[in-house]
Amino acid sequence: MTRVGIVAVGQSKFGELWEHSLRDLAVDAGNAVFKDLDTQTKGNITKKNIEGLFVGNMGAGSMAKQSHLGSLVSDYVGITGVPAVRCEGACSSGALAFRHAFHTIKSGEMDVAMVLGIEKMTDIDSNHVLNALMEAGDFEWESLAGLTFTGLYALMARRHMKEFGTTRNQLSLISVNNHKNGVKNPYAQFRGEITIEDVEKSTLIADPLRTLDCSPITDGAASVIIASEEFIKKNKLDNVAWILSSSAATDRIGFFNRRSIVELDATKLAVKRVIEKDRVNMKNIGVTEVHDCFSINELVALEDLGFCEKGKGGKFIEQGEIKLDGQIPTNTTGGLKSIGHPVGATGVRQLIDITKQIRGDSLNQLKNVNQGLALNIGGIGTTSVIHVLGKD
Amino acid sequence: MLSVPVFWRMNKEKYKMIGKKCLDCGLVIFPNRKNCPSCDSQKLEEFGLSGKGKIYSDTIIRVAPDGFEAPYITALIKLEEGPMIVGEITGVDIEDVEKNPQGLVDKEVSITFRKIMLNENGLRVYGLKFLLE
Amino acid sequence: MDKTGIVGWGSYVPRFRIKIEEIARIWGRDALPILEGLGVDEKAIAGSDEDTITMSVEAGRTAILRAGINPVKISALFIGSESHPYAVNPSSTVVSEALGFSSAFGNTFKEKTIFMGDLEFACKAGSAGMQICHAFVKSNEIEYGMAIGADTAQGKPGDALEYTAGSGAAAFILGKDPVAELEGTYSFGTDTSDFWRNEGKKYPNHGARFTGEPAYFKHVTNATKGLMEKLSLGIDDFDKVVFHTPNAKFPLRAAKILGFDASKLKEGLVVPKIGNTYSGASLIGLASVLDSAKPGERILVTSYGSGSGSDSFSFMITNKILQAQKLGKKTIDYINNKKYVDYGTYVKLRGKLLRE
Repeated sequence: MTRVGIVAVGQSKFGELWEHSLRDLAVDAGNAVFKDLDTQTKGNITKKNIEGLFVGNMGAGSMAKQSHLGSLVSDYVGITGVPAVRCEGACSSGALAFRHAFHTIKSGEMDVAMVLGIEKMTDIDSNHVLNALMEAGDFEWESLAGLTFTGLYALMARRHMKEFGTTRNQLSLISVNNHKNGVKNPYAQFRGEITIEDVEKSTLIADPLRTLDCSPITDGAASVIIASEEFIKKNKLDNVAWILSSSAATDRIGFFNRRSIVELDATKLAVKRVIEKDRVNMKNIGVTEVHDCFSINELVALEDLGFCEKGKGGKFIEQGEIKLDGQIPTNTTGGLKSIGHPVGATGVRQLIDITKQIRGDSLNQLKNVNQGLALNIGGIGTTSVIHVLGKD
Repeated sequence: MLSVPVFWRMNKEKYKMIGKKCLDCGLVIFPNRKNCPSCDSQKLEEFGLSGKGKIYSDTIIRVAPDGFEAPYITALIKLEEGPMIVGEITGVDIEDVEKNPQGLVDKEVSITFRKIMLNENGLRVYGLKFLLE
Repeated sequence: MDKTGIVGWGSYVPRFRIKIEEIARIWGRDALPILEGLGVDEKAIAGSDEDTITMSVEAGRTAILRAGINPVKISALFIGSESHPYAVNPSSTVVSEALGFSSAFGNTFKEKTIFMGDLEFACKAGSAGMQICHAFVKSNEIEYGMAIGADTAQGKPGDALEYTAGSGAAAFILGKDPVAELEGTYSFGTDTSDFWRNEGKKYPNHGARFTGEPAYFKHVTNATKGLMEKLSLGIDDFDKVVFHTPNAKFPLRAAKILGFDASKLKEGLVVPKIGNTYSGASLIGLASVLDSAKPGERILVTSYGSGSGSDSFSFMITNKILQAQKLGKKTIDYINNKKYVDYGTYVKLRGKLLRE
């Protein structure tokens, strides 16, 4: 079966984009990815080569009163006529859309496909956004019990603190690191550094989690174009990030039904498939994007992915291992915390930033990165999607 | 806006904690399912839970979704029959709970009947909450 | 013939309290004369997730526990209240479902007779429910019936009623082989509008001093006298007495008019610590008396509902009460479990803030 590579990337600004509608965001990301396509292929490949569109989006129906995004996005980015579909898996919608595109090309059905992750979150009141996001949880037994997503992650954090002695300070370091990495990111919602004190003085949202433990409510879109090895070779494209592994797993919808609430089985299952099925050597991973929707989730992700031992995530972070010069540089462009978290766009945005590290044009470019891993999580480890990209 | 049947069909579970028991493997199931999540059996019978349990983890929700009014305490509760569920802890003072970094973990609770939320069209949704023992 | 009467009882008082001084402070009134005039120190306030329905369920659960019966055997439910949460949509159906009257597993579709109704007769609707259940039981129409008096009593901010209007509930299961035999009941009523609340209005109005002599005292004393005459009993035949408690002074004066010693009112006089719980008032008083009553004691209860009417009851305590008293929370437990709140918290809890 063919290999598949990412040939172009592009995104809109992330933030509270009051003047941008859902479709404006799609157009911004579309124009950006087509511009990159033009640059990367020296004008040889254009949008006319695109054979299919996969849109990642969680809640446009609830948050922008618009469904049927396959048609809407294909129309507004100017590729009307291609088969198009919207993929939904809560906050992992972006990575799932990417995965479907990947499979379609792998099957030989298409040679070139476009993936676009998008979310418009500021067109409804913020308390309604909380309701919309909780659609990723168990409606009957979590939403109707007044639980929020911050609440769910707070339950995880409190238990992690109890079982492993994880500290407030360790969680704060995660947000501090992500903000530091995002300072240079022109697309980021927040580009200011923050201190541990800032985090610990910020307003409590769901104890023990505070405002600066949480990724914000964000508008944004991100897009990549992927192609088959045959197409890439035929067109002599050389600056490609190859997809070395695509893996996804699910867990039970209710957080109350989990085997554990301090480790996410979906992530562990997905990474097991990465290693066993796709033969990825985790030691070769030089950069990672993990889903820091809440600080605790970055910590748990690092443990579940095996970058550190279960329960030792706090110490690992304290030792600076997630910094740009650490053992595993994490969220090198700011993560969800600093860049923002337009739900359906995030999974695609993570892949853009890994691609840039592989290609060598990241704003915080690391040296000698051959492989990078992105973990996109839907819900609270309800869906975990992992992609590994590499130079060859 | 959610209409009445959404809440109405869950009355049995949310008023009285009537769950299921698997006749094949004996698993107590709550909230209800049609198939046993352990052995996949469809032979389940109604089973009343005691409503007693222990707090596994808890948080104080300070920013509430529509229909709820913060602050309130929400917890994961391990029921004595086995299942875990999410429930609000009522009858306690936030000021007392927030002082303790461990929250209410390991505290024993029992079921009570309270107003859960007010729907947009004025429907009062009742159901289970928990009181500290 | 089998004895009939109360087989199980339970009360519920929410844990929030506001002191009368705190209310007086807000309205710039001298607290001392109010405290002395009413004989009430503080009142109970329902939490924001509580109302007549939830308090009825709490009281009902204790009543079932004490009766030691399967709730599926209860075939009547009448809830008396001035604060049914809905103007239209019954409290009794919710409470019956929550207490499991329909079937052991609450199968809504399983057919079974349950006589239900939400009653309103100012503060005596709960005692009227007791009479209805008793009649059903005596006529062998049902085995058990439950009557509840509950209120999150309303009082207009700044009005005299605000100093006393409290929250609470009491539930009674009527049936055979009772803990307190209902020996007889008598009602007296006339068209005397001393207190009213119009459809759609949040707070009641009242006739101030007119609520006394021609209203409360006339009806309470007439009903009580009627009962004693009917049963050929005199004041000395009663060991304990409960009269409706708009405040702590009225029942004591009624006792004096009728010739009862004030000490007989002691156990039932919970109003100084919880306020006037309207439909719950005389019934929480009765529950409080049952919590510690001894076999062989005779208890007099006379409720009062504005508009106006009184229901008077005579109960004879049986040996069965001793076992039941060991189960469930007592009224005094609820009275002692309290958290004081300020006026601001009180108006928030009771939804008195205009937020639109």
